[in-house]
Amino acid sequence: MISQEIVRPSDCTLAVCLPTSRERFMKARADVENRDFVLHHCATWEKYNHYVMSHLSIVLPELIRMGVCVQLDVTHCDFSRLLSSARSRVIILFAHYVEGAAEFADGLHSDEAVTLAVPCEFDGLLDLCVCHPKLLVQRLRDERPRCLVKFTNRPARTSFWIHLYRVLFAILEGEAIAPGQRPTGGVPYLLALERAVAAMLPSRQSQEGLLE
Amino acid sequence: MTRLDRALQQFLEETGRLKEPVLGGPAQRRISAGEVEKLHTKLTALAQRSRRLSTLLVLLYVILFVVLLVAAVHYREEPTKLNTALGVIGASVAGLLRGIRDVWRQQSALDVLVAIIPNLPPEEVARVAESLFFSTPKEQRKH
Repeated sequence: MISQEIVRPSDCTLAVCLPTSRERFMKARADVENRDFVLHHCATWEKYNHYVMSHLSIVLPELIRMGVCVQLDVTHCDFSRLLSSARSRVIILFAHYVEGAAEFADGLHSDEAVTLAVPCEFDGLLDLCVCHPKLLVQRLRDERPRCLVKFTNRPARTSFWIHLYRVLFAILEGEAIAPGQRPTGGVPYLLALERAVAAMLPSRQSQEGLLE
Repeated sequence: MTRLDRALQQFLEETGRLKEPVLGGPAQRRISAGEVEKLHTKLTALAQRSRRLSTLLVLLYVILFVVLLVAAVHYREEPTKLNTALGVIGASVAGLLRGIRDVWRQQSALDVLVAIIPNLPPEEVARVAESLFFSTPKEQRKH
């Protein structure tokens, strides 16, 4: 069972659906019909670079060094392929979510389309790093009961989450995350996630609704 | 942080554009014509102030140049004093030139903004403000 399984960074895939270059950003911004994030949340490259790219460019190389499979500019097809290949036990969907649809590198796709991309036999963990995806989670839990879905019920700031994953994978890699702390060996993903959140947000109150 | 940066920061803060974007939730609110008008008024005042400042700096530069000439003539027989005077005035000129360059840069940006803002829709004004503000290197911005 994935909730109890020891997971290594190499068992995980981070699927980044946000644009990861200026060219991709501009292309996304030109697609006014099928986009939301770069049109209504972060409409200039300079701001995007400041809040998103500067963090991704620090963290992603580290995750790759730890053995995480990092996939950039993931389209809906790529996402489907990742889940079907069964290479990873944990897939992290790092994407924008707007009521009823997730935004991939090729545009918005409905909850139904996202659910269909998950094979019925997938019994790994799907970590949805998107904001308030309750409808999607409900659908996934109903239609893909073998798959474990983790999500956050709080606004997901990109910088916070990307750095949280750095801490999480350090834990999964068996590294100590603070001076004097002993290496943990191997732990299940959800436990590592709880520890990462505790390390990043020491107060209980600030952790509320972060992991569901 | 320059006065222009501060004005842009205040505008972005008041319109909710300074916040880090999140991976979902409601879109940013629309910007009103009143908010743009307020920014335009502020930038116009800043441009006038900046113009006065650049005039003052150029005047200081001219004065320093005259002082330099006077010192060169006055101390022509005393090389040690002449060297000291030239050193002090040279350093002041270098500092002043740097100031003139910064004021000129800000002045150019202000003139462009004051000219284009009335002709842009509010959302475009926000984009221009974001681009300018976030293109300033982080270490200079410190917000």
